[in-house]
Amino acid sequence: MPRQKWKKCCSGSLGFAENGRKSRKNLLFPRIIYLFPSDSPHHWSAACERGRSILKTVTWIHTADLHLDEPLKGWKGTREEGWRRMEEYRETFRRIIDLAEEKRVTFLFIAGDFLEYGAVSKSTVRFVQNQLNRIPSTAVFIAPGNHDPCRPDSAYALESWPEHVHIFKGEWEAVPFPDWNVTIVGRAFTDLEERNWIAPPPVSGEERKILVLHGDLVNPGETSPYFPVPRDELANLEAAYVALGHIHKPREERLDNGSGTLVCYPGSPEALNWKETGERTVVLGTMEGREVRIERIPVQTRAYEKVAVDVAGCETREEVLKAIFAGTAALNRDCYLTLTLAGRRRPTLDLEAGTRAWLADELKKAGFHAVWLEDATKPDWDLDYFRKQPGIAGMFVRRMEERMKQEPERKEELERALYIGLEALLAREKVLV
Amino acid sequence: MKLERVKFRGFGRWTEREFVFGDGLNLIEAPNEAGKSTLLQGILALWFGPKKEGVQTRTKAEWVDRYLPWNGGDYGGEIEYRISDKRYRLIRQLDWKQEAEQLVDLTEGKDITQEFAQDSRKDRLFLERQIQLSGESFRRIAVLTPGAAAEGKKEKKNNESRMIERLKRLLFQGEDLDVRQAFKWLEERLSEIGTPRASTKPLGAALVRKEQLERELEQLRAKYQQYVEEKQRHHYFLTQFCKAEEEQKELEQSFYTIKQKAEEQQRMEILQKELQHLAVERRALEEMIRQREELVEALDLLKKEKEVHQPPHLITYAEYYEVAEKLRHKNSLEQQLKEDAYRLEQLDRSIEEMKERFGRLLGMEETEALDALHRVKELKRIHERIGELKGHFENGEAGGRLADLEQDLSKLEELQKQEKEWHQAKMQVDVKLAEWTAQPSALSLFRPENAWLAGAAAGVALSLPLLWWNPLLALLPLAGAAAAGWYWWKRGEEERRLRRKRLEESESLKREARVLADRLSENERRQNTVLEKWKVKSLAELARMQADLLERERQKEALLQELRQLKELAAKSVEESRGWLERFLDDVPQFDAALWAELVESLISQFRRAKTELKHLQMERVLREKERKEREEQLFRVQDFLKRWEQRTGTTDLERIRHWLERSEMVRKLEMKIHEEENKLVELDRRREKEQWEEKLRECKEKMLENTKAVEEWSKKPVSRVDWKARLSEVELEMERVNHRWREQKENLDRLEGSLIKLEEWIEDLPKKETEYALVQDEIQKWQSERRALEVAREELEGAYRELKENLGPQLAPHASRWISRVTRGRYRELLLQSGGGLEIGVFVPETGELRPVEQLSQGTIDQMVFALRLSLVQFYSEHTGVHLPLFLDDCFVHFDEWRIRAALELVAEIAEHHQVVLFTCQSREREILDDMGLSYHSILLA
Repeated sequence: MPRQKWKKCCSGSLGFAENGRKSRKNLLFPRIIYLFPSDSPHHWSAACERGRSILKTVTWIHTADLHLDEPLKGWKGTREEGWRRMEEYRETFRRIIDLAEEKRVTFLFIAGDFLEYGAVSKSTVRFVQNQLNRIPSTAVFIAPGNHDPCRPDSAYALESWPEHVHIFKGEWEAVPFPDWNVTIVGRAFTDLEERNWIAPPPVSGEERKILVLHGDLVNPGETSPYFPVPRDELANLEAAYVALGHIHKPREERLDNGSGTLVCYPGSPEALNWKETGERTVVLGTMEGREVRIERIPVQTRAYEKVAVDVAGCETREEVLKAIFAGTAALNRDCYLTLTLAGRRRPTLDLEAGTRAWLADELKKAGFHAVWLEDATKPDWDLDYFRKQPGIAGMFVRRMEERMKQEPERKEELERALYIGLEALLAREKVLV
Repeated sequence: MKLERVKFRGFGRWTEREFVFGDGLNLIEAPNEAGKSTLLQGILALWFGPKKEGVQTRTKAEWVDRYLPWNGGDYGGEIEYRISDKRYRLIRQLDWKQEAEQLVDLTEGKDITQEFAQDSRKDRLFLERQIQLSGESFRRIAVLTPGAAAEGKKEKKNNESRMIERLKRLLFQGEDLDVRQAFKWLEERLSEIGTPRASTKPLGAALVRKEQLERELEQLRAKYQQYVEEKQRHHYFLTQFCKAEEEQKELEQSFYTIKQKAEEQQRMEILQKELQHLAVERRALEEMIRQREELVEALDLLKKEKEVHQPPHLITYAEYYEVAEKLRHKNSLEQQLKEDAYRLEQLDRSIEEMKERFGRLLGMEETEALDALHRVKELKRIHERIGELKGHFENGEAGGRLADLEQDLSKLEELQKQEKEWHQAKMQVDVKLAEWTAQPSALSLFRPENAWLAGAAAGVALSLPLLWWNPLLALLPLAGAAAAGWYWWKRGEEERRLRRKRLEESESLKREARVLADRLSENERRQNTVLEKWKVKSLAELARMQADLLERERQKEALLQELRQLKELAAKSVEESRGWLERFLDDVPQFDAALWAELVESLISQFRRAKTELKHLQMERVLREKERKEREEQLFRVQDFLKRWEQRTGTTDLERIRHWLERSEMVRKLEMKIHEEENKLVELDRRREKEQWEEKLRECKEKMLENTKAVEEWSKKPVSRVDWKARLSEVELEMERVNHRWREQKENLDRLEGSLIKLEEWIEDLPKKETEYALVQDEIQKWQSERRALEVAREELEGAYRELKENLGPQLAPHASRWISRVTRGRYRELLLQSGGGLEIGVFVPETGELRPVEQLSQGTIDQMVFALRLSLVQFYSEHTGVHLPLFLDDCFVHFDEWRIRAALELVAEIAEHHQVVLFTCQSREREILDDMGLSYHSILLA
């Protein structure tokens, strides 16, 4: 493959960070940045030929998918609690900056889905800017994703960003750091979907390379509306580390290539929905020579936890409470807890809203930050038994089961209806025997 | 299926107790609290076990703890029963923790427990599988309790239709389960959630909130869009602004370079101008030096001329005019002093003459004169008053008139008194006359005495028929008539006597009246005479006239007194006035008030004139004397001045002084000129010293030389040929233009930033609102899902109920009809189901052939029908399961009357032919009736 030529895009200033103003001399970033492809007489490797005799240790924090100002999903609390929760996402970002400050990392990579497009408020942007200003000695790279595409009407394009913050645009960019023998390569989403993989030009030379981008890591031939990143293509780039964003579940894998590229999704640093339970982390990366090591560090302000407690055999709400305490004994109580009451419930056991509120109160008294109880129990009716009964209960069960067969897509709702009907019929009847 | 034996090892009160049951009817008669219900419960417990039915997890039935053995020990027992030809023994340990069960086939003598597999609850369901009914179903079908069989009386009080509902439930559902409660509960749950339109319920409220949030979000999103657009514009303007700023800086740099060149050029131009200025300055300095030298020469010449014109005394114009004036004044004063002396002599003479002429008059006191004048005028007035009074007395009336008047007045009073007395007498006479003339007529028919006449006539009239009938009896009315006639005649005589007497008295009174009238006429005439004399009309008027005459007499007396006093006063005043006049007049005339008044007034007038004239003369003299003294003083001062002048100058010759004045003036002019020139010289010297003319001149020459050299060097350079100032102006213009653009961009930016700040405030809540919207949507989804589930439950429950009703009812109806016919002894034969608008129940009445709705039946009949229906259910399910189910009647006839018990027991006996019946009762009625009816039964004693 012929070598690509690079175009010199600007000197001494960085993309959107300039924001129309003449920037001061940038102390962090090198004076030359290249875009792919171009017809510049310079070459990627040529740009990286300075000061490489000793490979310095480089550190970074890699995060993504914070979704600041995104409306809450599946929130179970009150409106006001929800607003407090939104503040906690900011708090999490502050904690990330605290960590960067504490660890004195060389780079901070934010691999997209950071500032929610079409919703992010000015105060949030200001908050982010203020936080970023706290770490002027850390070069910050933001690779906007499908939730915050780098469009002309996005906050990235319209706001002024600190000098040490580089926001990638739609085309691949390479930012060399000769003093560190590192080149950061990245790109951004410019739309809500990007279905085609666009490969960066092949990279050669001795510089250590880190890729920062938002996308879906796929196997060859697979597709995705969110910038599919084929593993084989990624392997060809021979990067030391690929900082990805998009998948909220943390994961990493080492590619089988010469560089042993480490591809990593840091996961969302703060839970965005009830699937993202437990500890939420960012990645603290270290590159010594060409060896990359990562460590996951919890940063969440408050975790989401889901616990199911089997209330079978509980006759009273006090017994249910006891079962809950037993089921949550190992849990950090400073969390948002969804407590699902599961199992076969005694028909006489009331788990209606009043009881659930009482239980939630008791749990709060016991130190739980926020608890929402969900009744997923099924009344302990023996459907086999009723199905065989000659009376109306038997008839009802048979009809409901028939309907569930006919409308399988409504199974959950119909099952609920079945138990409601049985409860209506039987729970209030005095049974003599 | 038949129950043969029950043995409790421990169940409630029963410990190691066995009960044996026979085929057919079993009667268990025992009082309350004897253990009947425990026995029934124990039978069911041993058959179906201690687990709760219908639940998946192994759960204790509610009764388990209630029937723990009273004496402790094992909880459970064994029960033997027969199904078809097979006999079984079911052994159970009911202890919840050590539950155990065993089924033995007694027919074959083997344990068949393992033939029944355990279910998820580890229950083998022996009996359930053998009879295909659950324990609960068996209980519903085969056990009739008081609550289940008849609550007739209680319900009758509350609601009779409830029994009919029960009848319907049994017929249509095959069980006594009230589905309406379930529907009601479902409806309540649905109502709690509410419909989408019910905004007070959770679902409706959430939908309303959602709509509200949608509206708010629409606005917020529009604002956000506007914000983004404005932000883009802001970005564009910011770029433009930065460009303008860059251009501005470049221009500023260029401006400073050109400005330096222009300033250098400007400096050279200034040097050239300075050179010109230095040349002028040099010339000026040279001219000033020359002027000074000329001034020194002119000053010497003036001083010499002044010495030539100098006089012996320097005289000023003021001095000259002052001396001249003093000389003129001196002459004038001397002339005036002469005139003053002459006039003073004249005045002294005039004053002497006046004093001689009016010496006596001038001694007059003006106040006394005025008093005298007043007295004379008063005297004149007194004399006039005396004259008036005298004239008045001469015209006065005679005093005899008053005495005459008083006499007539007394006479008239006397006459009026008499008139009054006579009038009264006449009135009395007239009254009496009137009384006499007013006496009633003697001929009046209605007089009382006429009654006696009528009585006499009536007596005669009565006696006439009596005479014919009984003459003796006729004497009585005749006697009465005679008495009445006598009395009538006597009253008539009396009347006539009185009439004559009144006539005589009347004549006497008339005469008396005429005498009195004559007297009154005479009296009136005499009064008129007196009144005409005094020309008055009444006695009162005459009395007023007398009062007037008395008043006039009093006034006349007072005037006489006044006249006497005036005459005394006049005499005294005349003497005083005469005394005063004699002081100033030699010959005082005879008293005449007018003449004396004129004299006094003339004297006063003369006195005033003389006094005024003398005063004028004296005042003029004083003034003249004063003026003369002043002039003498002035003359002294003038003479003093002239004397001093002469001592100073040696002369008072005005011509000579004038000559000196002219020479003095010339000298003064020269002095002034010299002074001016000297001042000029001083000024020039001061400037010369200060400005250092000679030094400056030298420096000027040196600088001119230096500047000339620098200018010559600059003009040799090529930059000197460019007009840098013009270039600077051009750059300034360009800067102005760029600055203008910069300001415009800045204004645009500021405006946009203002707008953005507002928009930022507005859209700040957008994420929160989006979150809230998501929450509301979740809530709506939750409520809608719950509502759908409830609706499905209700729908399917209704469907199940309908299906059961449509299927079971028709199947059960024939059985029910048979038993109803039996229980009502043929009165109602057939139970019919009608399906118009829902299933309705009716019974066929054979006598009339009509179909009667059960609602029209009596309460007792309905109770019977309910009982019959329970029997038919047992029969119905027995047919379906193939097992003749036993029937347990637990005190269920307690509310039946004897007739109904007989009918029911008849039925029980009939059904006992095929089904084992266990009848529990607390009273002996059932046993007695059974004995009475000759029905066989197996009696079981509990005691």
